[in-house]
Amino acid sequence: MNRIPVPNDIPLPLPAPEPVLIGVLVFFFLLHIVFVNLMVGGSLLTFYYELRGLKQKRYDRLAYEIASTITANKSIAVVIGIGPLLAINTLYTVWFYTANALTGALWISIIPLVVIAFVLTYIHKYLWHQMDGVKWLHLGVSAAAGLIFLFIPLIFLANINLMLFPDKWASVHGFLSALSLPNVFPRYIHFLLACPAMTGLFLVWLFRRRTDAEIADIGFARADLIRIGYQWALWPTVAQFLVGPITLFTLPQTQGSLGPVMAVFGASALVAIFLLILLFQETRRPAETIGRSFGAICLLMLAAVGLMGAGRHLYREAAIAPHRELVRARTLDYMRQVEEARREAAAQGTAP
Amino acid sequence: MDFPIFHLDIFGNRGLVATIAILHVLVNHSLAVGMMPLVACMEWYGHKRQDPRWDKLAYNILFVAFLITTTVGAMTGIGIWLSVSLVNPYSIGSLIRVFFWAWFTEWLVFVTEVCLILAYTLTWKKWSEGKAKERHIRLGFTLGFFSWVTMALIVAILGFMMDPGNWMSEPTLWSGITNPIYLPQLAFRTPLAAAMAGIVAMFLAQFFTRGDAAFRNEALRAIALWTLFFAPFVLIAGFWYYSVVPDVMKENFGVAIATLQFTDWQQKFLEIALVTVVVILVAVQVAIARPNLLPRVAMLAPLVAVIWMIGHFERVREFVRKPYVIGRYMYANGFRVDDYPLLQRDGILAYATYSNPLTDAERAGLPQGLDDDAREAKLARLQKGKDVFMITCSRCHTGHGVNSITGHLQRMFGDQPWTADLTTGYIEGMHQVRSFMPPFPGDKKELDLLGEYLEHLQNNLAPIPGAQTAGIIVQAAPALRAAGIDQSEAIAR
Amino acid sequence: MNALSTWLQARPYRLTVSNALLLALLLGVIGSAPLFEIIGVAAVAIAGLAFVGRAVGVAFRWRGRGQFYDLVLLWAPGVIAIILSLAAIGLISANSYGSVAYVIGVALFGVELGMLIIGGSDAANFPASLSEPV
Repeated sequence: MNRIPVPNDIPLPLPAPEPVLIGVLVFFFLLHIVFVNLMVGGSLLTFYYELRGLKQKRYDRLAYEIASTITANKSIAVVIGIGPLLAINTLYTVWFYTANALTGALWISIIPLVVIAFVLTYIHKYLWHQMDGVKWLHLGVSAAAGLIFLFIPLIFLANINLMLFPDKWASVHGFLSALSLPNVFPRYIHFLLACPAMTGLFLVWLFRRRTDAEIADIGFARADLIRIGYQWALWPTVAQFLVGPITLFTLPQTQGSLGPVMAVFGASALVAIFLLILLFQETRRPAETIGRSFGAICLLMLAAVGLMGAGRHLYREAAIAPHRELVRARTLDYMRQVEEARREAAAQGTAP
Repeated sequence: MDFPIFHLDIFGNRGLVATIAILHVLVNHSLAVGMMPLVACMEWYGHKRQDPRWDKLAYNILFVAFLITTTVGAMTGIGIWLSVSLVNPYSIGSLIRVFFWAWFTEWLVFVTEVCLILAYTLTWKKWSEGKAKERHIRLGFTLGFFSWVTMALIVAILGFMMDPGNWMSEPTLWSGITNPIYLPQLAFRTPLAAAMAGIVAMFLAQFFTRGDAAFRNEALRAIALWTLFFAPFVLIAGFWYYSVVPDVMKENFGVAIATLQFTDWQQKFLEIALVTVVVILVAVQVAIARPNLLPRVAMLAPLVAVIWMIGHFERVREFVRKPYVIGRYMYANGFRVDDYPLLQRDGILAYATYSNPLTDAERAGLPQGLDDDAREAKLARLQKGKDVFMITCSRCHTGHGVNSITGHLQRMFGDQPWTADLTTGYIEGMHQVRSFMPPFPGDKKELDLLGEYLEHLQNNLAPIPGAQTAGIIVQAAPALRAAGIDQSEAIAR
Repeated sequence: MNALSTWLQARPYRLTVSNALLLALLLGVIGSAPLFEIIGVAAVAIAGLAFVGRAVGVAFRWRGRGQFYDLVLLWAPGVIAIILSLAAIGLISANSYGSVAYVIGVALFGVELGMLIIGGSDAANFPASLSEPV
């Protein structure tokens, strides 16, 4: 029996016009996810380069440079996430809280898990030189932090996916069953690839700003560092052209029409193609001209990300909107009955 | 509450929120709100005296604060949101409809605070001379101010939630600021945060000045004076708060404040505050007169006293709200006062979307010798009784864990069988005897079903799982149930 | 015995503080609240006057040249000691013999009377006493 629950909603009006709340939600969520990309990508790239650094010392120094950025990026990622959390609590109360309750144990474990990941990240960064003699342990700390950073997005994804499908709520028994719902895994891979990609662009920005002395300390030519950044931005994005469509076409069917969703994602793919071309060109450029298209690349990335954020929201609406109407109707009906009973009780003088 | 019911049967749902929230308060009071101004003062003093030892000490203490606030501090803050959404979604969902912009503003201030603490910590070594140093010191004081502002904002929201009248008439941040509990609470927390920071700083200073006895004594004395300045205000403001709360409570209960337990707790709060301040004063006194005699562990005593006091303070603050979770609007069980006439007439199960599946232990706990029909009927009643328990009681009570319903029943009725007649008679009138309990929201039939379930719990000692492990069963929509149609099935098809 | 008397004589207040602690213990064991009040207040008064007298002397010697910070360092330990020792007497009077609060009161009285005596001794050669070891 596949009953769809139609619960009562909070009978209070929204604190602001819906478009305003949606604006807050989508805009700040994108900001949040970019910094999360930088945090996770930073952690992965640091590990990779420290590993290479075992053979060539300058890669170790590069790893340290990248590790230094995680401190700020992680705190900003976390604090920016609160705004969208407030907005989603307000706009999608019934759906969000229901999904939270159904995956509750893992949902609340996000807190201790992130604390541990952050502590490990601090140990890794601040005891870098002290742990020179035990590199294997140092790498272990980085790996542990990285694994936690890789796991936590799954918790979020399982949740925000589950919230879209009320017909699945009765069949979920905790995190693992929510995780196996479509299409959590393609979305996860899509997110994972974005991490090194976004971090790559960040590194381009970083190494363009550094002074000559700082660059010399690392041991690479500036142009080489910038090219490394662009390569990290390029190749995962190439892979996205495989993973992206898979993610798109494995999105579960919704009751609302998916036409606008497809259009928006199509547009973002188009923008991404231009992005790819520019990235490819940049990786081929010599030291004198590398970085020339950085501004354009950033704008294109902004556009692509913005379009995807919009598409994501449209998909959410398509999935939830019909159910939302049912919930609204049920809530209105319930409130009418509450009023009726209250008046009846007051008339009989038995009001509480 | 029309959500799948998240439930922790051993630790208790309240315990989850309390642990995360109190940890958050301890970290943010002692290491952010109180500590940032102290560190800024130390940096300023070191710069004024051109004494690099003060600068070094200030940086070391800041660094420890930075590590803890950006990990445990930040995440427990978010943890409060996550845990409250799990434990009482109806209340937080309602509060956010009214207070969205207040929380949004507070969030913007938080973002500023995070950026400032990142900047302050990460530029310390770079902005170390001349004009840059002066800029850095100003940054420190700005950070201290913003940390305090976040506390001022959240205390307004908290205070509002305790004051019953405002929700109905004036649900705004301004009324949160003007309600009678606000200023006393802020006046209490501010010096408390400063004193806590002083205690932590004295403890850390003993570690960071190990090689230099003369400087250690000087630093301990100075930080002790900081603590000494704020400690008396903790007591004075604590007394102010203590004197204001009863009037608010009177509003809440609508009856005279006679509940023995509450007056006990208020008295205890004052005693604990007194003990805490005395312990702090003794520590400060020794730190000033004989700093070299101060063992490092000495600072644990005032710290433990403060933790005890905060725990008690927060507990009483939460208690003042009961039986409501939002004063006069919503009871702690998630039902609104307005819902009661309908629910007490038709029963809560008539409108509940979700049902909590019976566990194997519950199915096995049926009396012996029943034929199939009787068994089915008994199971159906047990299912309903369980749903009533989960929906109306589980937010505060567990089956067999902390604040367990079985513990209370054991205390009241001992080992005699807890028949429905015995328990429901009490539960029906409970809210008149224990004014912190909400009235039972269901109808008479459901009261009996609850009684049957409680009777069952006397012998079934297995913990009751929540929706996060056991899942849910979806009921048909009520109007359609009444009309005999199940529209949601039609949709599923 | 020699070691003990050497230790006691090393600093001017050690003998007096030891006496004060013994006095507190004695009064505590006797258990008469009125006795404790009379003798306790008298002891606090004597030690308190000694402290205040010397502190005023120091402040007078500075006559405006002293920083506020140093003045607080001068007065704070003694003032706290007076307040807390009197509070301890209050605690003893209000509680029954042998209860936890009573024992804490006796201990607090002893410690604070001791601190008051030390404060008075420190005030005599303030601020040199700040940099002295025990």
